Amino acid sequence: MHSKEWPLVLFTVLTQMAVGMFLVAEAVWRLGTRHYSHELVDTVATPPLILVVPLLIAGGLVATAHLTRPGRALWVITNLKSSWLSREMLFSVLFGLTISGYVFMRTFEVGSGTLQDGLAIGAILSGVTLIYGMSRLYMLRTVPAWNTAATPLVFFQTALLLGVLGVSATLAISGGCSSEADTQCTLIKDALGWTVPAATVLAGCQLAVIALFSTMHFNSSQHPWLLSLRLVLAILSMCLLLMFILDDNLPTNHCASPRSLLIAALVAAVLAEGLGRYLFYAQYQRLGL
Amino acid sequence: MASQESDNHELNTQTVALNPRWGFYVNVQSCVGCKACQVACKDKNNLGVGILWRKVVEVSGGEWIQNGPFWIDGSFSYFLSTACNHCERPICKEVCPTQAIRQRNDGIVLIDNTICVGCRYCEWACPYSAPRFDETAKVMTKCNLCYDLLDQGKRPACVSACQMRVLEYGDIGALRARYGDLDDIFPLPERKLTNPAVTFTPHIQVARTQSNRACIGNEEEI
Repeated sequence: MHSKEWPLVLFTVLTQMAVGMFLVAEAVWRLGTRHYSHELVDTVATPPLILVVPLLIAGGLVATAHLTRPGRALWVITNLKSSWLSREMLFSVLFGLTISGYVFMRTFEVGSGTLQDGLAIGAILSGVTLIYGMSRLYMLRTVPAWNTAATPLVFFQTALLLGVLGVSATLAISGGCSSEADTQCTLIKDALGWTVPAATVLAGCQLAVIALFSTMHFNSSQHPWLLSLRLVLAILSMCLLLMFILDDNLPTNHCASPRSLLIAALVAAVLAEGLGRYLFYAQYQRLGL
Repeated sequence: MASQESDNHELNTQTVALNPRWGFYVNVQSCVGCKACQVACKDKNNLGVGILWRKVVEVSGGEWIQNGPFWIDGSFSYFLSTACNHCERPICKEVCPTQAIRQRNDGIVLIDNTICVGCRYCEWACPYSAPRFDETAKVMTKCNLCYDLLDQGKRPACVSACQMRVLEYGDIGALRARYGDLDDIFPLPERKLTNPAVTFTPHIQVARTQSNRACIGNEEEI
């Protein structure tokens, strides 16, 4: 069953990353405007926010490809009474609409601050409920391996980890520092000063979860090599983040620039989470026939 | 056999007027695994290759046991004919995002394949493997208790075809009153998951499945 579910692996990982990046980018903007000008913070915090929309669209397209009758996709929202899949689709649409409106207003500086704040709150609420709804979809009473508290925890962890890493990498790419006196450079360093440690902590937590899971399930896992690869990628991601944090203390002839370290850490984490989601699907075992 | 057939017909005639809640009864003790029910269902509904609405599960277990110089045959097997159980709490209907799966007042659970998007979520959820994906039509399908025949006062195809008369249909309350309410014999799940509208007379070897590592011998069909 799980080998056919690659579209869902991509959909869940991309969508969770989109929600996570929005939450972190919004936090960067809110905290940044307390100490820096709105214009400066907009320049720095808007690029990661803009990336949320194509991530969401990509996830949505991949999810639609999973349907064998995509032309009937509009019907999917009709069973809100009992189907978590319907609710997930509703939250996806709400998140997509609010985030698109918010990004448009921020980018082109239209609409009042109150309206922008309202859209931001709407996006936060719909994004968080989207991740929760996504996890509840898998918590079927007939599939005990999925029907645990670990499912929503892992989904939120993925969203936060990839969100923090995605914003960190985007900040590092988009922020060109011409000199140490550059205020934009200072803002970016300040932002990275808490996003990267946060990412490291989250990566450490994820690593602990993977190590625990590997210890418990390695012998019974259908894919021991994929499990091992996931562990290696998670360790690599965390090491790269630690190298970034300790960058000032590294020998000056090391080959990786800080920007490259963050990008590599992001790529390793995305691959690790993708593998982790695939292994999650591989755990599917239904009661009965 | 004629008496049992007429009893069944009489049972159904009685319950039709009283707004029945349709269900199945299966006498597992007498099932010989001929799969006539499976074939009749496939024929009546023109099902494609690989799609089974009614399945006959082969359960086996146990082993030869040495007792001094002798060997005693401790192995066992039995056949369990199962289809959609038109549950009182159908999880397929709960999870279907398009409301393509609906339940009639008489309990029959149907899939409207003009609405189904083929997400296969019901296939993930159902503990009886009832919803089956039709690769040609690209939608989900499942046993519909031959509601078209029932509405004409006729019997479902599987019940008509059963040569050992182990299959019955009727008001599930009446069936339980007559045969008991056992509905979760191995390999079927606990009743509390979906409250299936089915009852069984178990094979005498069912009690041995717990301690003798029983397994399904024809998993590729299920």
